Amino acid sequence: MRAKIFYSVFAISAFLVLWFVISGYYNSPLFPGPVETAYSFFSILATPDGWYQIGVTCYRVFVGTLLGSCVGALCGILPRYSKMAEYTVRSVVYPLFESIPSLCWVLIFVVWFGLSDMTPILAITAAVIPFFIINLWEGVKELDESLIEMAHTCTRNRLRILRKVIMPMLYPYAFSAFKTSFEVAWKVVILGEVFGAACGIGYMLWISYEVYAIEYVFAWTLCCAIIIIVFDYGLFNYIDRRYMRRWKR
Amino acid sequence: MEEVKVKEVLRIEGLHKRFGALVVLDDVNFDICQGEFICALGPSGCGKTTILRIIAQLAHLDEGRIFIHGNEQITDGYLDDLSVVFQESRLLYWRTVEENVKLALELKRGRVSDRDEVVVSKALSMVGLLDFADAFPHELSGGMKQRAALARALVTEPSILLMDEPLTGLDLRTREDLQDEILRIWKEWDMTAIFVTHDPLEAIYMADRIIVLSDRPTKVKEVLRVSLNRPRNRDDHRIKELEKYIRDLFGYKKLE
Repeated sequence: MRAKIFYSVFAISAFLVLWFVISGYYNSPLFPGPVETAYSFFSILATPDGWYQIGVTCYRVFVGTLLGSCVGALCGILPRYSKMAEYTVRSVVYPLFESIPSLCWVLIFVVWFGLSDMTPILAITAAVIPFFIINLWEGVKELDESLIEMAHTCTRNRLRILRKVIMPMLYPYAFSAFKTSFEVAWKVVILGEVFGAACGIGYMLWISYEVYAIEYVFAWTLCCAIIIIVFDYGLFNYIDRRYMRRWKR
Repeated sequence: MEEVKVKEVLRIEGLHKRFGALVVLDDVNFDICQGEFICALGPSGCGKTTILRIIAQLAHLDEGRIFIHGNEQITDGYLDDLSVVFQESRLLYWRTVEENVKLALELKRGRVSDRDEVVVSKALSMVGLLDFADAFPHELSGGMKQRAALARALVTEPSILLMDEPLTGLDLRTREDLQDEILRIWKEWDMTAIFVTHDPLEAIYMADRIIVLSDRPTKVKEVLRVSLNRPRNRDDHRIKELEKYIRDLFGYKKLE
Protein backbone atom coordinates (compact mmCIF):
# COMPACT_ATOMS: atom_id res chain seq x y z
CA MET A 1 0.00 0.00 0.00
CA ARG A 2 2.73 2.39 1.05
CA ALA A 3 4.80 1.47 -2.01
CA LYS A 4 1.79 2.10 -4.24
CA ILE A 5 1.33 5.60 -2.80
CA PHE A 6 5.02 6.27 -3.19
CA TYR A 7 5.00 5.33 -6.88
CA SER A 8 1.90 7.44 -7.54
CA VAL A 9 3.39 10.46 -5.81
CA PHE A 10 6.64 9.93 -7.69
CA ALA A 11 4.88 9.72 -11.07
CA ILE A 12 2.81 12.83 -10.42
CA SER A 13 5.86 14.80 -9.23
CA ALA A 14 7.84 13.70 -12.27
CA PHE A 15 5.04 14.89 -14.52
CA LEU A 16 4.89 18.28 -12.77
CA VAL A 17 8.66 18.71 -12.93
CA LEU A 18 8.71 17.83 -16.63
CA TRP A 19 5.89 20.29 -17.28
CA PHE A 20 7.74 22.95 -15.23
CA VAL A 21 11.03 22.42 -17.08
CA ILE A 22 9.55 22.42 -20.59
CA SER A 23 7.38 25.48 -19.99
CA GLY A 24 10.38 27.20 -18.36
CA TYR A 25 12.48 26.40 -21.41
CA TYR A 26 9.97 27.96 -23.83
CA ASN A 27 9.07 30.69 -21.37
CA SER A 28 6.08 31.77 -23.46
CA PRO A 29 2.58 32.90 -22.39
CA LEU A 30 1.29 30.29 -24.87
CA PHE A 31 2.67 27.50 -22.67
CA PRO A 32 1.97 28.29 -19.02
CA GLY A 33 3.71 26.16 -16.43
CA PRO A 34 2.21 24.37 -13.43
CA VAL A 35 2.64 27.42 -11.20
CA GLU A 36 0.75 29.84 -13.48
CA THR A 37 -1.93 27.18 -14.09
CA ALA A 38 -2.36 26.52 -10.39
CA TYR A 39 -2.53 30.27 -9.72
CA SER A 40 -5.30 30.70 -12.33
CA PHE A 41 -7.05 27.58 -11.07
CA PHE A 42 -7.25 28.87 -7.52
CA SER A 43 -8.28 32.31 -8.70
CA ILE A 44 -11.24 30.64 -10.45
CA LEU A 45 -12.16 28.79 -7.28
CA ALA A 46 -11.81 32.00 -5.26
CA THR A 47 -14.72 33.69 -7.03
CA PRO A 48 -18.40 32.76 -6.77
CA ASP A 49 -18.62 33.13 -10.53
CA GLY A 50 -16.07 30.33 -11.00
CA TRP A 51 -18.19 27.98 -8.90
CA TYR A 52 -21.27 29.09 -10.79
CA GLN A 53 -19.71 28.10 -14.14
CA ILE A 54 -18.68 24.72 -12.73
CA GLY A 55 -22.16 24.24 -11.26
CA VAL A 56 -23.90 25.06 -14.53
CA THR A 57 -21.81 22.51 -16.41
CA CYS A 58 -22.38 19.82 -13.78
CA TYR A 59 -26.10 20.50 -13.94
CA ARG A 60 -26.12 20.03 -17.72
CA VAL A 61 -24.12 16.82 -17.50
CA PHE A 62 -26.52 15.51 -14.87
CA VAL A 63 -29.75 16.39 -16.71
CA GLY A 64 -28.41 15.31 -20.11
CA THR A 65 -27.23 11.93 -18.81
CA LEU A 66 -30.48 11.38 -16.95
CA LEU A 67 -32.57 12.15 -20.04
CA GLY A 68 -30.36 9.91 -22.14
CA SER A 69 -30.60 7.10 -19.58
CA CYS A 70 -34.41 7.22 -19.66
CA VAL A 71 -34.64 7.14 -23.45
CA GLY A 72 -31.82 4.63 -23.79
CA ALA A 73 -33.15 2.28 -21.09
CA LEU A 74 -36.58 2.33 -22.70
CA CYS A 75 -35.06 1.50 -26.09
CA GLY A 76 -33.02 -1.27 -24.47
CA ILE A 77 -35.88 -2.95 -22.59
CA LEU A 78 -38.91 -2.46 -24.86
CA PRO A 79 -37.59 -4.84 -27.55
CA ARG A 80 -38.09 -7.63 -25.01
CA TYR A 81 -41.81 -7.00 -25.14
CA SER A 82 -42.45 -6.03 -28.73
CA LYS A 83 -41.00 -7.08 -32.08
CA MET A 84 -42.05 -3.72 -33.51
CA ALA A 85 -40.00 -1.92 -30.87
CA GLU A 86 -37.08 -4.23 -31.48
CA TYR A 87 -36.91 -3.45 -35.18
CA THR A 88 -37.48 0.25 -34.66
CA VAL A 89 -34.60 0.43 -32.21
CA ARG A 90 -32.37 -1.89 -34.22
CA SER A 91 -32.81 -0.23 -37.59
CA VAL A 92 -33.53 3.40 -36.74
CA VAL A 93 -32.90 4.59 -33.21
CA TYR A 94 -29.61 2.88 -32.46
CA PRO A 95 -27.89 3.57 -35.82
CA LEU A 96 -29.08 7.17 -35.71
CA PHE A 97 -27.59 8.01 -32.33
CA GLU A 98 -24.59 5.75 -32.78
CA SER A 99 -23.44 7.21 -36.09
CA ILE A 100 -24.04 10.97 -35.83
CA PRO A 101 -21.01 12.85 -34.39
CA SER A 102 -21.70 14.98 -31.33
CA LEU A 103 -20.53 18.13 -33.12
CA CYS A 104 -23.34 17.70 -35.68
CA TRP A 105 -25.91 17.46 -32.89
CA VAL A 106 -24.47 20.59 -31.29
CA LEU A 107 -24.68 22.57 -34.52
CA ILE A 108 -28.23 21.39 -35.20
CA PHE A 109 -29.34 22.24 -31.67
CA VAL A 110 -27.70 25.69 -31.82
CA VAL A 111 -29.81 26.40 -34.87
CA TRP A 112 -32.93 25.22 -33.11
CA PHE A 113 -32.42 26.38 -29.52
CA GLY A 114 -29.75 29.08 -29.80
CA LEU A 115 -27.35 29.64 -26.94
CA SER A 116 -29.24 27.95 -24.13
CA ASP A 117 -29.11 25.08 -21.68
CA MET A 118 -31.00 22.95 -24.18
CA THR A 119 -28.12 22.75 -26.65
CA PRO A 120 -25.50 21.07 -24.42
CA ILE A 121 -28.11 19.03 -22.56
CA LEU A 122 -29.65 17.51 -25.67
CA ALA A 123 -26.23 16.99 -27.22
CA ILE A 124 -25.31 14.91 -24.16
CA THR A 125 -28.59 13.04 -24.34
CA ALA A 126 -27.99 12.15 -27.97
CA ALA A 127 -24.44 11.07 -27.24
CA VAL A 128 -25.19 8.78 -24.28
CA ILE A 129 -28.33 7.07 -25.63
CA PRO A 130 -26.41 4.39 -27.58
CA PHE A 131 -24.41 3.42 -24.50
CA PHE A 132 -27.57 2.74 -22.55
CA ILE A 133 -29.16 0.89 -25.45
CA ILE A 134 -26.19 -1.39 -26.00
CA ASN A 135 -25.61 -2.12 -22.31
CA LEU A 136 -29.26 -2.87 -21.60
CA TRP A 137 -29.55 -5.00 -24.69
CA GLU A 138 -26.70 -7.03 -23.36
CA GLY A 139 -28.45 -7.20 -19.99
CA VAL A 140 -31.76 -8.25 -21.51
CA LYS A 141 -29.97 -10.96 -23.48
CA GLU A 142 -28.36 -12.26 -20.30
CA LEU A 143 -31.57 -12.27 -18.26
CA ASP A 144 -31.99 -15.47 -16.29
CA GLU A 145 -35.29 -16.71 -17.73
CA SER A 146 -35.63 -19.39 -15.07
CA LEU A 147 -36.03 -16.69 -12.41
CA ILE A 148 -38.65 -14.92 -14.51
CA GLU A 149 -40.51 -18.18 -14.97
CA MET A 150 -40.43 -18.72 -11.23
CA ALA A 151 -41.96 -15.27 -10.78
CA HIS A 152 -44.71 -16.19 -13.24
CA THR A 153 -45.84 -18.96 -10.91
CA CYS A 154 -46.48 -16.30 -8.26
CA THR A 155 -48.33 -13.64 -10.21
CA ARG A 156 -49.78 -12.68 -13.54
CA ASN A 157 -48.86 -9.06 -12.99
CA ARG A 158 -46.11 -8.41 -15.54
CA LEU A 159 -45.29 -4.98 -14.15
CA ARG A 160 -44.53 -6.49 -10.75
CA ILE A 161 -42.27 -9.07 -12.34
CA LEU A 162 -40.53 -6.29 -14.26
CA ARG A 163 -39.98 -4.26 -11.09
CA LYS A 164 -39.03 -7.04 -8.69
CA VAL A 165 -37.17 -9.51 -10.87
CA ILE A 166 -36.23 -8.17 -14.30
CA MET A 167 -35.08 -4.65 -13.45
CA PRO A 168 -32.82 -5.72 -10.57
CA MET A 169 -31.13 -8.14 -12.97
CA LEU A 170 -30.40 -5.16 -15.22
CA TYR A 171 -28.94 -2.87 -12.54
CA PRO A 172 -25.30 -3.87 -13.14
CA TYR A 173 -25.72 -3.15 -16.85
CA ALA A 174 -27.37 0.21 -16.18
CA PHE A 175 -24.58 1.05 -13.76
CA SER A 176 -21.83 0.38 -16.26
CA ALA A 177 -23.80 2.39 -18.84
CA PHE A 178 -23.90 5.30 -16.38
CA LYS A 179 -20.15 5.06 -15.84
CA THR A 180 -19.30 5.19 -19.54
CA SER A 181 -21.96 7.79 -20.26
CA PHE A 182 -20.64 10.10 -17.59
CA GLU A 183 -17.21 10.22 -19.18
CA VAL A 184 -18.70 10.78 -22.62
CA ALA A 185 -21.06 13.44 -21.28
CA TRP A 186 -18.11 15.45 -19.94
CA LYS A 187 -16.50 15.48 -23.34
CA VAL A 188 -19.70 16.42 -25.11
CA VAL A 189 -20.74 19.13 -22.66
CA ILE A 190 -17.55 21.10 -23.30
CA LEU A 191 -18.13 20.88 -27.02
CA GLY A 192 -21.75 21.92 -26.59
CA GLU A 193 -20.82 24.86 -24.40
CA VAL A 194 -18.10 26.12 -26.73
CA PHE A 195 -20.57 26.42 -29.57
CA GLY A 196 -23.97 26.58 -27.98
CA ALA A 197 -23.99 28.19 -24.55
CA ALA A 198 -23.38 31.51 -22.85
CA CYS A 199 -22.00 30.10 -19.62
CA GLY A 200 -20.36 26.98 -18.22
CA ILE A 201 -16.85 25.57 -18.28
CA GLY A 202 -16.84 25.12 -22.07
CA TYR A 203 -17.91 28.71 -22.59
CA MET A 204 -15.19 29.96 -20.22
CA LEU A 205 -12.63 27.87 -22.08
CA TRP A 206 -13.73 29.49 -25.31
CA ILE A 207 -13.57 33.01 -23.83
CA SER A 208 -10.12 32.38 -22.35
CA TYR A 209 -8.95 31.12 -25.71
CA GLU A 210 -10.40 34.16 -27.50
CA VAL A 211 -8.43 36.55 -25.28
CA TYR A 212 -5.30 34.38 -25.38
CA ALA A 213 -5.42 33.76 -21.63
CA ILE A 214 -3.87 30.33 -22.10
CA GLU A 215 -3.19 29.88 -18.40
CA TYR A 216 -6.97 30.04 -17.94
CA VAL A 217 -7.52 27.54 -20.74
CA PHE A 218 -5.20 25.26 -18.78
CA ALA A 219 -6.93 26.04 -15.50
CA TRP A 220 -10.43 25.27 -16.82
CA THR A 221 -9.11 22.09 -18.40
CA LEU A 222 -7.72 21.14 -15.00
CA CYS A 223 -11.18 21.75 -13.52
CA CYS A 224 -12.74 19.25 -15.93
CA ALA A 225 -10.08 16.66 -15.28
CA ILE A 226 -10.44 16.96 -11.51
CA ILE A 227 -14.23 16.65 -11.62
CA ILE A 228 -14.07 13.55 -13.82
CA ILE A 229 -11.46 11.95 -11.58
CA VAL A 230 -13.43 12.73 -8.42
CA PHE A 231 -16.62 11.24 -9.86
CA ASP A 232 -15.03 8.24 -11.47
CA TYR A 233 -12.67 7.18 -8.71
CA GLY A 234 -14.73 8.52 -5.84
CA LEU A 235 -18.45 8.35 -6.47
CA PHE A 236 -18.70 5.45 -8.91
CA ASN A 237 -16.17 3.40 -6.99
CA TYR A 238 -18.12 4.04 -3.81
CA ILE A 239 -21.45 3.03 -5.35
CA ASP A 240 -19.80 -0.03 -6.85
CA ARG A 241 -18.41 -1.21 -3.54
CA ARG A 242 -21.35 -0.17 -1.42
CA TYR A 243 -24.32 -1.27 -3.51
CA MET A 244 -23.27 -3.40 -6.47
CA ARG A 245 -21.59 -6.11 -4.39
CA ARG A 246 -24.85 -8.01 -4.09
CA TRP A 247 -25.00 -8.49 -7.82
CA LYS A 248 -21.58 -10.11 -8.04
CA ARG A 249 -22.04 -13.83 -7.80
CA MET B 1 -62.79 -51.42 -4.20
CA GLU B 2 -64.35 -49.30 -1.53
CA GLU B 3 -63.12 -45.81 -1.19
CA VAL B 4 -63.87 -43.00 1.19
CA LYS B 5 -65.40 -40.12 -0.74
CA VAL B 6 -62.90 -37.26 -0.51
CA LYS B 7 -62.97 -33.84 -2.06
CA GLU B 8 -61.38 -33.69 -5.45
CA VAL B 9 -58.89 -30.84 -5.84
CA LEU B 10 -57.58 -31.33 -9.32
CA ARG B 11 -58.77 -33.42 -12.22
CA ILE B 12 -56.93 -33.76 -15.49
CA GLU B 13 -58.78 -35.06 -18.51
CA GLY B 14 -57.41 -36.02 -21.88
CA LEU B 15 -54.26 -33.91 -21.74
CA HIS B 16 -52.43 -33.65 -25.05
CA LYS B 17 -49.29 -31.67 -25.69
CA ARG B 18 -47.13 -31.46 -28.78
CA PHE B 19 -43.94 -29.58 -29.46
CA GLY B 20 -44.01 -29.37 -33.23
CA ALA B 21 -44.22 -32.92 -34.52
CA LEU B 22 -43.13 -34.34 -31.19
CA VAL B 23 -46.03 -35.70 -29.16
CA VAL B 24 -45.13 -35.28 -25.51
CA LEU B 25 -48.40 -35.99 -23.74
CA ASP B 26 -50.91 -38.35 -25.25
CA ASP B 27 -54.20 -38.50 -23.40
CA VAL B 28 -53.11 -38.16 -19.78
CA ASN B 29 -55.88 -38.52 -17.19
CA PHE B 30 -55.77 -38.50 -13.41
CA ASP B 31 -57.28 -36.79 -10.42
CA ILE B 32 -56.02 -35.66 -7.06
CA CYS B 33 -57.91 -35.41 -3.82
CA GLN B 34 -57.72 -32.95 -0.98
CA GLY B 35 -54.70 -33.55 1.22
CA GLU B 36 -53.22 -36.23 -0.98
CA PHE B 37 -49.54 -36.69 -1.69
CA ILE B 38 -49.21 -37.66 -5.36
CA CYS B 39 -45.99 -38.64 -7.08
CA ALA B 40 -45.70 -38.51 -10.83
CA LEU B 41 -43.10 -41.11 -11.69
CA GLY B 42 -41.62 -41.65 -15.11
CA PRO B 43 -38.38 -42.02 -17.01
CA SER B 44 -36.27 -38.92 -17.66
CA GLY B 45 -37.37 -37.07 -20.74
CA CYS B 46 -40.97 -38.18 -20.48
CA GLY B 47 -43.53 -35.45 -20.11
CA LYS B 48 -43.83 -35.41 -16.34
CA THR B 49 -42.39 -31.93 -15.97
CA THR B 50 -44.61 -30.75 -18.80
CA ILE B 51 -47.69 -31.91 -16.90
CA LEU B 52 -46.57 -29.92 -13.90
CA ARG B 53 -45.82 -26.88 -16.04
CA ILE B 54 -49.29 -27.06 -17.56
CA ILE B 55 -50.88 -27.20 -14.11
CA ALA B 56 -48.75 -24.20 -13.04
CA GLN B 57 -49.84 -22.31 -16.17
CA LEU B 58 -46.29 -22.11 -17.50
CA ALA B 59 -47.22 -24.07 -20.61
CA HIS B 60 -50.38 -24.28 -22.67
CA LEU B 61 -52.18 -27.52 -23.28
CA ASP B 62 -53.12 -28.43 -26.83
CA GLU B 63 -56.12 -30.50 -25.86
CA GLY B 64 -57.71 -31.55 -22.63
CA ARG B 65 -59.27 -30.03 -19.59
CA ILE B 66 -58.12 -29.16 -16.12
CA PHE B 67 -60.65 -28.92 -13.31
CA ILE B 68 -59.65 -27.21 -10.13
CA HIS B 69 -62.00 -27.77 -7.20
CA GLY B 70 -64.44 -29.12 -9.78
CA ASN B 71 -64.35 -25.87 -11.70
CA GLU B 72 -62.97 -25.73 -15.22
CA GLN B 73 -62.70 -21.98 -15.39
CA ILE B 74 -59.21 -21.03 -14.27
CA THR B 75 -59.52 -17.73 -12.49
CA ASP B 76 -56.99 -15.11 -11.52
CA GLY B 77 -56.91 -16.38 -7.97
CA TYR B 78 -55.72 -19.74 -9.28
CA LEU B 79 -52.05 -18.98 -8.77
CA ASP B 80 -52.62 -17.79 -5.18
CA ASP B 81 -53.62 -21.29 -4.29
CA LEU B 82 -50.58 -22.93 -5.73
CA SER B 83 -46.82 -22.84 -5.31
CA VAL B 84 -44.04 -24.43 -7.30
CA VAL B 85 -40.65 -25.74 -6.22
CA PHE B 86 -38.36 -26.32 -9.17
CA GLN B 87 -35.46 -28.68 -9.67
CA GLU B 88 -33.09 -25.72 -9.37
CA SER B 89 -33.64 -23.44 -6.41
CA ARG B 90 -34.15 -20.33 -8.62
CA LEU B 91 -33.29 -17.89 -5.85
CA LEU B 92 -32.60 -14.27 -6.75
CA TYR B 93 -28.86 -13.97 -6.22
CA TRP B 94 -28.96 -10.33 -5.11
CA ARG B 95 -31.41 -11.01 -2.30
CA THR B 96 -30.78 -12.67 1.04
CA VAL B 97 -32.66 -15.83 1.96
CA GLU B 98 -35.20 -13.81 3.90
CA GLU B 99 -35.69 -11.35 1.04
CA ASN B 100 -36.09 -14.25 -1.37
CA VAL B 101 -38.85 -15.72 0.73
CA LYS B 102 -40.49 -12.32 0.98
CA LEU B 103 -40.41 -12.03 -2.81
CA ALA B 104 -43.25 -14.52 -3.18
CA LEU B 105 -45.44 -12.25 -1.05
CA GLU B 106 -44.34 -9.13 -2.91
CA LEU B 107 -45.18 -10.75 -6.23
CA LYS B 108 -48.52 -12.12 -5.11
CA ARG B 109 -49.77 -9.05 -3.27
CA GLY B 110 -47.64 -6.24 -4.61
CA ARG B 111 -46.92 -5.02 -1.11
CA VAL B 112 -45.73 -6.51 2.15
CA SER B 113 -46.71 -5.29 5.58
CA ASP B 114 -44.90 -5.60 8.90
CA ARG B 115 -47.17 -8.47 9.80
CA ASP B 116 -45.65 -10.45 6.96
CA GLU B 117 -42.30 -10.50 8.76
CA VAL B 118 -43.87 -13.03 11.09
CA VAL B 119 -45.12 -15.13 8.18
CA VAL B 120 -41.66 -15.06 6.60
CA SER B 121 -40.00 -16.10 9.86
CA LYS B 122 -42.50 -18.88 10.25
CA ALA B 123 -41.74 -20.23 6.77
CA LEU B 124 -38.01 -19.98 7.45
CA SER B 125 -38.24 -21.80 10.75
CA MET B 126 -40.43 -24.42 9.09
CA VAL B 127 -37.53 -25.39 6.83
CA GLY B 128 -34.89 -24.79 9.51
CA LEU B 129 -33.24 -21.79 7.87
CA LEU B 130 -33.95 -19.14 10.49
CA ASP B 131 -30.24 -18.83 11.30
CA PHE B 132 -29.46 -18.25 7.63
CA ALA B 133 -32.05 -15.53 6.99
CA ASP B 134 -29.37 -12.98 6.09
CA ALA B 135 -27.21 -15.29 4.00
CA PHE B 136 -27.01 -14.92 0.23
CA PRO B 137 -27.86 -17.89 -2.00
CA HIS B 138 -24.24 -18.40 -3.12
CA GLU B 139 -23.29 -18.94 0.50
CA LEU B 140 -25.66 -21.90 0.87
CA SER B 141 -25.23 -25.59 0.11
CA GLY B 142 -27.48 -27.28 -2.45
CA GLY B 143 -29.77 -28.69 0.20
CA MET B 144 -30.10 -25.35 1.96
CA LYS B 145 -30.92 -23.62 -1.33
CA GLN B 146 -33.77 -26.06 -1.84
CA ARG B 147 -34.90 -25.42 1.72
CA ALA B 148 -35.00 -21.71 0.92
CA ALA B 149 -36.96 -22.39 -2.27
CA LEU B 150 -39.35 -24.51 -0.23
CA ALA B 151 -39.80 -21.66 2.27
CA ARG B 152 -40.53 -19.28 -0.59
CA ALA B 153 -43.20 -21.69 -1.85
CA LEU B 154 -44.71 -22.11 1.62
CA VAL B 155 -44.81 -18.46 2.66
CA THR B 156 -47.95 -17.78 0.64
CA GLU B 157 -49.70 -20.68 2.39
CA PRO B 158 -50.75 -22.51 -0.76
CA SER B 159 -53.24 -25.35 -0.71
CA ILE B 160 -51.48 -27.09 -3.61
CA LEU B 161 -47.72 -27.57 -3.68
CA LEU B 162 -46.13 -28.60 -6.98
CA MET B 163 -42.60 -29.98 -6.82
CA ASP B 164 -40.58 -30.74 -9.92
CA GLU B 165 -37.80 -33.15 -8.95
CA PRO B 166 -36.76 -30.80 -6.15
CA LEU B 167 -34.28 -33.26 -4.65
CA THR B 168 -32.51 -34.39 -7.80
CA GLY B 169 -28.81 -33.61 -7.63
CA LEU B 170 -28.58 -33.63 -3.86
CA ASP B 171 -26.57 -36.25 -2.00
CA LEU B 172 -28.46 -39.18 -0.47
CA ARG B 173 -28.30 -37.99 3.12
CA THR B 174 -29.67 -34.53 2.24
CA ARG B 175 -32.31 -36.08 0.01
CA GLU B 176 -33.63 -38.30 2.78
CA ASP B 177 -33.63 -35.45 5.28
CA LEU B 178 -35.57 -33.25 2.90
CA GLN B 179 -38.00 -36.04 2.00
CA ASP B 180 -38.89 -36.32 5.67
CA GLU B 181 -39.05 -32.56 6.05
CA ILE B 182 -41.39 -32.18 3.07
CA LEU B 183 -43.64 -34.94 4.41
CA ARG B 184 -43.73 -33.33 7.85
CA ILE B 185 -44.68 -29.93 6.43
CA TRP B 186 -47.23 -31.47 4.07
CA LYS B 187 -48.91 -33.20 7.00
CA GLU B 188 -48.72 -30.21 9.33
CA TRP B 189 -50.10 -27.73 6.78
CA ASP B 190 -52.67 -30.10 5.31
CA MET B 191 -51.64 -29.40 1.74
CA THR B 192 -52.19 -31.28 -1.47
CA ALA B 193 -48.84 -32.17 -2.98
CA ILE B 194 -47.77 -33.19 -6.46
CA PHE B 195 -44.21 -34.41 -6.54
CA VAL B 196 -42.47 -35.25 -9.80
CA THR B 197 -39.60 -37.72 -9.64
CA HIS B 198 -37.82 -40.40 -11.62
CA ASP B 199 -36.76 -42.35 -8.55
CA PRO B 200 -39.21 -45.21 -7.69
CA LEU B 201 -37.94 -45.49 -4.12
CA GLU B 202 -38.53 -41.81 -3.51
CA ALA B 203 -42.04 -42.08 -4.95
CA ILE B 204 -42.90 -45.12 -2.86
CA TYR B 205 -41.54 -43.56 0.31
CA MET B 206 -43.48 -40.33 -0.15
CA ALA B 207 -46.68 -40.90 -2.07
CA ASP B 208 -50.22 -41.84 -1.24
CA ARG B 209 -50.64 -42.68 -4.88
CA ILE B 210 -48.06 -42.96 -7.63
CA ILE B 211 -49.01 -42.02 -11.14
CA VAL B 212 -46.68 -44.13 -13.25
CA LEU B 213 -46.08 -42.53 -16.61
CA SER B 214 -44.82 -44.25 -19.72
CA ASP B 215 -42.02 -43.11 -21.99
CA ARG B 216 -42.82 -40.58 -24.75
CA PRO B 217 -45.52 -40.13 -25.91
CA THR B 218 -46.50 -40.09 -22.27
CA LYS B 219 -49.60 -41.89 -21.07
CA VAL B 220 -50.60 -42.95 -17.59
CA LYS B 221 -49.33 -46.51 -17.34
CA GLU B 222 -50.79 -47.27 -13.98
CA VAL B 223 -51.95 -45.54 -10.83
CA LEU B 224 -50.51 -47.28 -7.78
CA ARG B 225 -51.87 -46.80 -4.32
CA VAL B 226 -49.20 -47.08 -1.64
CA SER B 227 -51.05 -48.23 1.43
CA LEU B 228 -48.15 -48.29 3.86
CA ASN B 229 -48.67 -46.51 7.16
CA ARG B 230 -46.80 -43.32 7.86
CA PRO B 231 -44.17 -42.69 9.04
CA ARG B 232 -42.73 -45.26 6.71
CA ASN B 233 -39.64 -47.28 7.27
CA ARG B 234 -37.12 -47.06 4.45
CA ASP B 235 -36.03 -50.65 5.12
CA ASP B 236 -39.57 -52.04 4.89
CA HIS B 237 -39.49 -55.06 2.59
CA ARG B 238 -42.79 -53.97 1.03
CA ILE B 239 -41.08 -50.85 -0.29
CA LYS B 240 -38.49 -53.09 -1.98
CA GLU B 241 -41.26 -55.26 -3.43
CA LEU B 242 -43.10 -52.25 -4.80
CA GLU B 243 -39.87 -50.96 -6.30
CA LYS B 244 -39.31 -54.28 -8.04
CA TYR B 245 -42.90 -54.20 -9.29
CA ILE B 246 -42.42 -50.71 -10.74
CA ARG B 247 -39.09 -51.59 -12.31
CA ASP B 248 -40.75 -54.59 -13.93
CA LEU B 249 -43.44 -52.29 -15.33
CA PHE B 250 -40.76 -50.60 -17.38
CA GLY B 251 -39.13 -53.86 -18.42
CA TYR B 252 -35.39 -53.68 -18.22
CA LYS B 253 -35.40 -50.10 -19.19
CA LYS B 254 -33.61 -48.12 -16.57
CA LEU B 255 -35.54 -45.27 -15.06
CA GLU B 256 -32.69 -42.84 -14.68
